[in-house]
Amino acid sequence: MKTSTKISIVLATVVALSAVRSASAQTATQTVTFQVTAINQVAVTGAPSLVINAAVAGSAPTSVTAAGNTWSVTTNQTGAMITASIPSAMPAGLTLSANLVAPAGATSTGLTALGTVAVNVVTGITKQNAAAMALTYQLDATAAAGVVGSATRVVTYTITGGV
Amino acid sequence: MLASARCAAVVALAAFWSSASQAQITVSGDPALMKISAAVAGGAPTSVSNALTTYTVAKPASGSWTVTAQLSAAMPAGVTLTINLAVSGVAVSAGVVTLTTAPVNVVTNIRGKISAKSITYSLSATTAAGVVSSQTRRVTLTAVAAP
Repeated sequence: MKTSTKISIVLATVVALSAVRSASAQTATQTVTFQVTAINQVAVTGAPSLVINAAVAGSAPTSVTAAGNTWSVTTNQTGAMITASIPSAMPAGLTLSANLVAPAGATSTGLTALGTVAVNVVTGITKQNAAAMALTYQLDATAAAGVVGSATRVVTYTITGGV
Repeated sequence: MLASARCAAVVALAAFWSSASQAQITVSGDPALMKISAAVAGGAPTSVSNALTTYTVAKPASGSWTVTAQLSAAMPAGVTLTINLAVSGVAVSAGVVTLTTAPVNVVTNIRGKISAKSITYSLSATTAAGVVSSQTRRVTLTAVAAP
């Protein structure tokens, strides 16, 4: 074999290896493990103050409402519900009620009287997050309630996850 | 003269082949479980991140490398996994990239060694995604010679 032929073979080998090298790729792998658990969150804003101080003669004292409060919810489950309760009963003749606007697809129970036993205020909340929805309180009194000094009640809202 | 030239060529080829076959990209391990379990009421579930693993890319013998990333299978509906590879001054990061089953560039123009730079994964989910049981996806990082 002539010297020029040997050199050609070497060059051909280099060219061939170059082609292999330019097409080379090398990999590394990672295994990512992930999970999303059940999430149910509810929050409210506002600290309403309700004072009954008027009446139309011949009628019960005039009810008052407090608007401007809001509530927000996040759930990634189906059929979550919101309940509300107060820690101690209202004075005799007084009724405190709440009305929560429901997010899309859910149902509000409308103006609902609050007591020490939790009551549904919104039901059927499914896989959604909604913020700053209207929350209105109303205070009603009978004449028999008489004069009631300033008192407070903490309203507790609880979200119960669905499935 | 001719014999020594042949030897030099063989040595050069051996070195060339060795460099071509050596590992070009490695990772430090797998990230820990990424679990979404919280939200601010009214907002989407809170995303979680993991930036505790690293990658290393060998210095290209010539030219430059690109690193691509892809998933072994699609993520569940409403769940998104992103990756962000940090770089040194010898490469360009694509920043935060959403991972899919198709390879996407995550680092380009690699002209020198990248040593133990962080890999940041972020997991996000919509409320519509619902509850997702523990699953795994294999992320493949591939170093390829840039054309």
